[in-house]
Amino acid sequence: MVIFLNELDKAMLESFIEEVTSILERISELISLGDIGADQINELFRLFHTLKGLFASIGFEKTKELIHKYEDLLSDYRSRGASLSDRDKAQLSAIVNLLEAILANIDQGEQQFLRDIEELMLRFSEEESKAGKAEEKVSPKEKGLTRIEIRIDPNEALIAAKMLIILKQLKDKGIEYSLISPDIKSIEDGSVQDRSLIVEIPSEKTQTTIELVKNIPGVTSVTSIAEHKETVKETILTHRRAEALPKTIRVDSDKLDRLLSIVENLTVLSNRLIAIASNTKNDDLISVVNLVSKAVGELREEILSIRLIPLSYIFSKIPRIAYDLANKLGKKVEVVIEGADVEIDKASLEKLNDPIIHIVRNAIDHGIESPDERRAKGKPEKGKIIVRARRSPRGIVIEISDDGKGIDVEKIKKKALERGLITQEKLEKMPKEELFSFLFIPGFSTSDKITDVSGRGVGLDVVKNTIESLGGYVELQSELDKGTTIRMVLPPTTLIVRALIIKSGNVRWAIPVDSIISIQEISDAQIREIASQKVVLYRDSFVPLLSLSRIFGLEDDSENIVMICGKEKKIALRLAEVIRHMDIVVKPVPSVIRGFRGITGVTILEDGFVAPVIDPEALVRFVG
Amino acid sequence: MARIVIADDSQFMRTLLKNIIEKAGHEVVGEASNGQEAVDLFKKLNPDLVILDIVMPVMDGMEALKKIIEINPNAKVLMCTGLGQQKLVIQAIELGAKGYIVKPFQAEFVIKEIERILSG
Repeated sequence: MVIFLNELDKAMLESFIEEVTSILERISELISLGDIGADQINELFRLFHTLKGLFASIGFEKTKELIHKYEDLLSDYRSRGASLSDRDKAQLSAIVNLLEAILANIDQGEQQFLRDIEELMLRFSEEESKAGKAEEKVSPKEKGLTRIEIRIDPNEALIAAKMLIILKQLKDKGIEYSLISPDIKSIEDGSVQDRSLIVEIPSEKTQTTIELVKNIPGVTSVTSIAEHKETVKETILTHRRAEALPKTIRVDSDKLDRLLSIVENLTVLSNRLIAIASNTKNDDLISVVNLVSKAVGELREEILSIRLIPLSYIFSKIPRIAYDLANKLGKKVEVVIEGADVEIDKASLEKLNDPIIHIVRNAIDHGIESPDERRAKGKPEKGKIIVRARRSPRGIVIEISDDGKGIDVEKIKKKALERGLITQEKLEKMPKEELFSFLFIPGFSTSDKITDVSGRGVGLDVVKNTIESLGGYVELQSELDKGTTIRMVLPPTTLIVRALIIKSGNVRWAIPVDSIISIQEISDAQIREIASQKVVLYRDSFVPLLSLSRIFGLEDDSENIVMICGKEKKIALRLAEVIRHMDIVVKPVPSVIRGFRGITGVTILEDGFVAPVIDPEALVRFVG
Repeated sequence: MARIVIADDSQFMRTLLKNIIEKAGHEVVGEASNGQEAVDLFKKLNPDLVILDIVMPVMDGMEALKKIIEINPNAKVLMCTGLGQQKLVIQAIELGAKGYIVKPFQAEFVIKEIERILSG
């Protein structure tokens, strides 16, 4: 039986959209793995099979046919045990794109997409006539499958482990199953909440399976649900039943903001409490205060984590968009994603979507060369795009690199002179990194000439504005014929960091301990001067010597204490006094002092004074 | 009657487990107080089943499991775990453990799981 769209109630439709979305996301993830081998093809086959049933059940016949066609193709791969070809991968991306579009306009039916579907169907026939394959194909295992629901004892402590044991038992006994619910990922990472497991098995194995599973301790019931036919009405129904008790609730994000600000106040207060308590030498009081402070910390972490969403929401789309675009442009790319699990505040995530996608598209469009050109340069035919996110004391760093043609500095110089933005004289002295900053000037690169160079300028000013509105900054590195890296650094919006409190220029500053290498005393004799920049010898190299008091124009009270800090680029900070370590709450920089790149935030000390939080690496720009 | 080796760093837990196992008519042929001893006993006694606690000194249960599976990929190993160690248990199952029992032990469950594994 087919359920038509207008008969679906809202909840059903939502459940349909949710299920399809999660399948499409999973497919995107698989695409992002690069090579799609036998295991992934198995999984893809299952996903396509489910998709087909889902679309059939709402009467989207043409969409179903398209999915069916690809399912056949996968089944063919499955029997050959081959990896997915680049061409079929591109087709896969195209289908996922189309399905997403259909899903976004689901209430308008599939009619408006018939041409797109037709077009993708044609790609299959080209392929088939090329390969000279037979037209007829019987989709395997269409019939004779039974769904079994296995319920697990509510008192079972480790649901995921139990489910894994059950699946393993089936496998060991040679029972071929496909897992319908919950999804395997939630089992493997232990996050599964459902207490029922639904698998689909060959009907003739039903009795054996029931007997086998019943004997596993912790299993309360095993029942066969129904013969699984072409329509998957049951899928939707089971899905709904499983969701009768919602696992999630919606909360206004303003409420979370209020909670967060309350708990931040608590954190500051409990820091103060610790300071007061430790003066009393009352051990009972101190131990209670410490417990309170620990609890406040946990509370804060929890509230923060509610607001966090992993970057995978954006990253998982990238490979597909990249392959699709590259395919259109006749280019070959490989996409490497790292750190998709880095979590970021929801509000920031929404704003980051467009800039990230934009940069990736630009990298493929203008950065990566055609396969011929790359071969001529002695590069591998496949261009490489690396999208990487990581946490650092500076905040969250998102980097997008390509190994394409890079940016021609000479052309930037020429353009800057033409536009009268700078004099020839100044230009000569300008370091390369600063030259790139021209690319961020609105309109600088929208002209055809620069687009010919790389086109990166297009919209880079928009990227920059977006990131700066989030309190972050953008950096660009590029080398001709080697590639380009765009790095977006987002401040730790509100973050607890272990920091060292120091004094310089009669002001207290907080420096995250992550970026401190060592603290040492120096004698004047150890200070040298190279090109009017003071330096000190650290290990085997000279490190520029700076002082916060000098940089920020404060009274110079520097003693001979030097702190070496920074990761990639090191600097030595001369300071007056090292006060102590503490956990600080980093808050965004207030607008009055915004614009100093070295200050990443502020923190309130236990006596109520405000201390700027310093990112030593960002101070490097004050050198020379 | 099966020959079983149990490994747990707590003497008390071993005794508890041993009582349950012996009541069900099996024999505890060896007791280990850490993973290394468990691996050695496995080599020496070639038991039908090994029950490994996850958290043990010297060599933990996960390491011991790996070593035992290396020696005999078909070895029957049952992990013994506290609450909140689900991730480790999942890892252990992926490494080849056949099942798990949760502390505090419920005799009925322990026996059921042991029988299931022995008959599998």
